[in-house]
Amino acid sequence: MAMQAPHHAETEKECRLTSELESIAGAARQVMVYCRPYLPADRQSEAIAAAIELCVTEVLTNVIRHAYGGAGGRPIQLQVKAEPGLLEVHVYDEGAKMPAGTIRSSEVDFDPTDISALPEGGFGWPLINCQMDQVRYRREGNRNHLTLIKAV
Amino acid sequence: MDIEQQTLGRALVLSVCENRIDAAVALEFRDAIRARIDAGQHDLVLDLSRVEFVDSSGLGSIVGTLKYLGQRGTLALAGLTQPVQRLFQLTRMERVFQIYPTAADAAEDLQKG
Repeated sequence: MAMQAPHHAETEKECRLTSELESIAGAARQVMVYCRPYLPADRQSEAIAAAIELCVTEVLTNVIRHAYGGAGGRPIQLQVKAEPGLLEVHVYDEGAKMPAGTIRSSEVDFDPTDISALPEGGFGWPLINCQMDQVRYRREGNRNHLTLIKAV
Repeated sequence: MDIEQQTLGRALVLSVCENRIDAAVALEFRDAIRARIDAGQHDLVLDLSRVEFVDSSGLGSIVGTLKYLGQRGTLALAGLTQPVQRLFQLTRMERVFQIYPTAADAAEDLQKG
């Protein structure tokens, strides 16, 4: 019997980590390694790779701090899907549901001359939103499923 | 957190000898710089030329250091690599800090007062 052909020409890679802040750097770098072959062969590719590394880092930090409340040893799964012209990074965790509206958090406004009132946090989601082309969130049973989409 | 320090004129140059300042090390980083401020060092140059990656937590700790220092002195940044420079642009924090190509440039400017 012939093997069934894949239904479309999509490539998929995955890696898993547990919820320690120390594991983020390695996982984000692994995602970059998976993405690199699909990046354009020009000067843009470094900027796109850097954007993906930063956004994956921000998402994983949020998962550990907020979904898992800082608890270690909990599972996080990353999937990279490549289609022509498009990279998707899927992040799954089994932590607390994300409050509505979180991913649309807008840029923190501040007065650059008022040092004492500068924001020390709240940069994460605005950084993700301004660097990715699309961000999706779905609660699937007891899992969070976040998708970062970048046109390449 | 490996940070080398060197006095250049009246500035204390703190060179971060780490590839990354992220959530895993942000608190340790903040405390290490605060310890210098508490020891009376108030003209600081943070040399980030060896740092290839800073995330929002790392940025928060750098901003926190500037706020902690307050009116007591100066915190200049030097040697920002491309990705770090980009983070400062995207968050518009490049408007807040004095940023120099090298630590020597920053120290020289501090010397002029």
